[in-house]
Amino acid sequence: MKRKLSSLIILAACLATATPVRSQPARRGLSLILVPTEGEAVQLRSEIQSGASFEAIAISHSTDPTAARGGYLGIVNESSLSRELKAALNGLKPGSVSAVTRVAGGFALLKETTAEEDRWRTQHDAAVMALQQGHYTEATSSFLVAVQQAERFGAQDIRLAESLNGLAQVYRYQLNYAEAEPGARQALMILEHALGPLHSGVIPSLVNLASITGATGRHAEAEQVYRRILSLRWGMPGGGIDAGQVLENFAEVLSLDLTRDPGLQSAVDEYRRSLSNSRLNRDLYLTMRDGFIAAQLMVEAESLMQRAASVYPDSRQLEFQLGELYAIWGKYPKAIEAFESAAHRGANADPEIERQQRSVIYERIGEMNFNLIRFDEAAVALAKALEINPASWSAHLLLGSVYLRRNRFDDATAEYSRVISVNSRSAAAHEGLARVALELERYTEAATEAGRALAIDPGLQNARYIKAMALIRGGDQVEGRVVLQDYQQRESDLQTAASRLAAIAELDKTSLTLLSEGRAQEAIALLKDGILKYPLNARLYMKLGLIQSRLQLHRDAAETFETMIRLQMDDFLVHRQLAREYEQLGNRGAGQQQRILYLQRYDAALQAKAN
Amino acid sequence: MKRAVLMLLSASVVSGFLSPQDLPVQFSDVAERIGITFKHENGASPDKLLPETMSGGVVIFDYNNDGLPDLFFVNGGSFVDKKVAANAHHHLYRNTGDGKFADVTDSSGIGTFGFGMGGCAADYDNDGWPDLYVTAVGGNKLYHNTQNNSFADVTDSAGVGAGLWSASCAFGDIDNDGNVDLYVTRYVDFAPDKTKVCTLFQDVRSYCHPSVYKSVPDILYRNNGDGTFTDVTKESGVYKAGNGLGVVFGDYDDDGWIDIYVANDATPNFLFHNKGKGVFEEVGLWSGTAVGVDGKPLAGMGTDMGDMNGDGLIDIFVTNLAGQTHSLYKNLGKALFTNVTFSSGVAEATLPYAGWGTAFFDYDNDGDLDLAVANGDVLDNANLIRDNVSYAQLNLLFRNDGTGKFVSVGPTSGPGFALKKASRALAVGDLDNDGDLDIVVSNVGATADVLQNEGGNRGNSILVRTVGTRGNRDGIGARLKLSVGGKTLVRDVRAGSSYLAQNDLRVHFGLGKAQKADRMEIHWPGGPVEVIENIEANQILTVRQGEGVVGSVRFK
Repeated sequence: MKRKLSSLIILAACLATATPVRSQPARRGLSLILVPTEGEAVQLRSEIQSGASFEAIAISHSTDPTAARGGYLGIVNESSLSRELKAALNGLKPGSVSAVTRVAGGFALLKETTAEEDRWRTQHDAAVMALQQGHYTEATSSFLVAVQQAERFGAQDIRLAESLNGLAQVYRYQLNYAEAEPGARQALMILEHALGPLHSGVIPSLVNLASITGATGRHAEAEQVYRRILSLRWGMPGGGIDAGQVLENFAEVLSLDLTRDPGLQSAVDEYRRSLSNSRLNRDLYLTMRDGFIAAQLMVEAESLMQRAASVYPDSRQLEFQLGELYAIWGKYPKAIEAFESAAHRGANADPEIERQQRSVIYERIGEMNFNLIRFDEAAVALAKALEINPASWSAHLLLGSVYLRRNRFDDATAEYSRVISVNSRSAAAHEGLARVALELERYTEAATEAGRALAIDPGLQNARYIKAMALIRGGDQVEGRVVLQDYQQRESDLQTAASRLAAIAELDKTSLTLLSEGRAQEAIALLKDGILKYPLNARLYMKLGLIQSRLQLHRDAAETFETMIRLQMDDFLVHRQLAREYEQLGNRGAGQQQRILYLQRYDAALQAKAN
Repeated sequence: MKRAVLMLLSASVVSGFLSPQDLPVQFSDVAERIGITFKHENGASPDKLLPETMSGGVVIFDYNNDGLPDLFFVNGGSFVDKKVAANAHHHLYRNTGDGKFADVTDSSGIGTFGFGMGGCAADYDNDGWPDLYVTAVGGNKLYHNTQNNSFADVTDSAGVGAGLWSASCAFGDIDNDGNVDLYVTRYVDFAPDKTKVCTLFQDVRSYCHPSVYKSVPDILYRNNGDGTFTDVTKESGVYKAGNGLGVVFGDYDDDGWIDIYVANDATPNFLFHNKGKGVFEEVGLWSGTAVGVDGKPLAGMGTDMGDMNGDGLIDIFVTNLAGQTHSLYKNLGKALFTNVTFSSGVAEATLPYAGWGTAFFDYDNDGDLDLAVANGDVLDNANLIRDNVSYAQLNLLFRNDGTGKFVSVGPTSGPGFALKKASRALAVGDLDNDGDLDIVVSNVGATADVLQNEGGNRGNSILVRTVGTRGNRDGIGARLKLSVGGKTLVRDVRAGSSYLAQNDLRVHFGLGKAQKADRMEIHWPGGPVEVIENIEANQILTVRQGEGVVGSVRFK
């Protein structure tokens, strides 16, 4: 459930132009700070008026998505602003801050930016665009200009840091580390001064520095910087145990779990201890949860989400995701409890977002009840979801299924038809109509609707089955046989794929059993055979490498992990383990390099999951 | 509490608020009282060998021809402890006729072998005495009735050892030659020395899903008529790998040739249509009986056939795992079925349960076929992965309203349906010859239950024992159609159904308030059709092919 932009921002984004238009008085450059309470807004305004940087305050405190850009909204057409904001801007001079103004989503402070500030922002954004497009020469010269412009705001201005970081980044991409490093360090100093060393706003500088030091052989320093990045990005201020430590413990659990290592329980205990004494970024709880689910450590996933819910007691999202965990686990009654709890938590200030969230919650409650064959309860929840959001087509589909199960065929038809009237390519709706028709022995109609569903999504085996049954019962045995054969062939293909996965899972489990029985060499032989049969299965490689490592066969283990990297099967755990192997083999330098890669990959994986 | 309910019910009768006819039928476990002390040994081991959780059959048959149904319980054993295995005897109980059973295992001649699964009984050599087939892991046994209250192992000479892991069995005359043939389901290619390791999350060992093993085809043995059988699996057209657990014979298309339905676990169920003379074509998917409502195979365990809606066509019921619902397929005629699991009312009640043995039976004698289901989870540690789930589960009783709509009535049907065990086989029969059907349940690693029917015989009924002369001796495969009160009740003589079990061979008809039935047609396997008219209620009839009624005994 991502937060939408406030209406103000949507408006601003629509109206912003690339070049500042100063000749028309109706268009003004604006920056924004948005906070939840009036008291906080008043306090921050006072700090700004006492000399604090508006941009730094925006980065530290604003809840608006523009926070990362120092609150910069862009050039806005004044006539499009709300009445409150127009009033706030009345008489405001460039460079000065408005009075505290109540808006949707909280309390705002506005600043009219100067022409110079607008020019810098335009220049800087153009440089960023060039960088993203890979036009490094152009980006370099653009950033150099942006840096010069930003220097006029002051040596400690946060915008200077922003441009210095951009310049460092483009130099880095060009492997020009000598040019990159000074700017990166200067940017870091500015940011640490403006935001504090523990603020996540320093991360862009740290990313540059980590990369530079790593590339120039200063591995120990690079490792420290990467660890700092992890801590800052995934921890929360005042969070007790460092997030980096929690992440390290988490990686240890995942690693040991792969081979049910005897040290697993104590690693789990250590992880739990660090978790209970830390306060982490909300997204990290969800990412770790997904990691536990993938490893089938469901109890740990549950305990993690319960901790998250206690750290963020008002977080609707975390409670909702606890419900999703239970849903995946098949614990539907508990999922319902969590969803119901989420419905009463942390109402969103934006009425539209609030509406959508509540609708989704009730829809999920409906789905859980449907899975429990509690159709009355499912219908009530879905009706509520639709009352809140009549355009929820998934709720209509599910309600159709409820009616179908209850033999309320007219009602089911109405729901499916409703979806189709808006989206004629809803395969699920056509399948639903097919099923109704089959129940009513309207075989021609059933076959037609099932055919429509299959035309949209040929993978819908249930629709295929319905079509076959409809044709056979309707007397078209020839065509029915053709469809049934197609169904059987596809089932066979699915079965083959499932058998393959089952065989791999069995290899996996058997290797662990052999290991636990002290038959490690047999386990290794089994895994090597398995790799020959399934050469692109990362899990088998990983297990092989870990078992080799456990047997002190570090050269073999290193080769296994190197092979994984060569075959592009490397996730962060591979690099972590390879680092350990290199260290065991006395190759500290290579070990350090791998540790850096591990940390880089770890951070990237966490970010990818969070997005 | 039970006492209070019963007292309240009694008071209601006295006050006239409820008439005796309206009182719900009650089932009570009388196993211990009547001398059934059998306790199933499943040899549960830390290695979680799959047969340990799947075993335990029960056969109701009159082995000594005294008109009283006897009981045979199949025991499991142990793969890891030879002493336990050696002491895991199957048990034969003789019905003494005075409401008790005597354990006659020691003199029965039935030995201990393999890891027992289920059984079925029929007079395969037409000598007038029912014989017994017992399935197991590692080889089955055919026991020939010596007519002297004992049995002799004739497996080898008969050629029906089967091998691998056999589960349910059933007898039926596939070619109408007058000799019953034998169908044996086989599950997966399990071997105790090659067991797979399966775990729940966090390395908790558990019983494996069958998909980790290879499926194996069932076996069909044709009776040669000389005491031997021939494996005709391939030539008959039933050679198809599935994870066979339940089997039932029934002529679903009423063409005079007996068909075979097999419940497969996690693979599509089979419906083998008999094209004539014992040549089959598998039509499960075609007929609509192979998979669940979503087109996916379910965990078929036990099965039965019966005309649940009184339209003269036999329908099919299959038990599945918890979370799947058990499946009810209504016969549409023209050899097609439709899945009525949800519209029948069966779905909601069965969802939380893992079902095994099952039977269509008229427990309240109102003429409609009701349903009983034995439940119990597969995993003895199921509670670790699902909320509100336990190994031991309640069994289910469904009352049929006559149109094929079922209502779960277990909670009001007495203490017998309040028992919670890991139940497996279920068989029904009139053990005390009082006119209503009792239930026998075998439970994994626990004592068996004998649920005596109290009150079912407030409605009238008849029991029919068929004796073939031209056809097989037991009349297995005969279809009886009884006309009473404007309705026609269709019932078959069946030897083997449910899961690992066999019901009383005698055919039961509930007549409700009717004092007599107008007419009964007996469609003997291979012909002819005989008619008996004006049948008085509340008696056990013996009908011999070509001679009509040759014996009748009033209910006790």
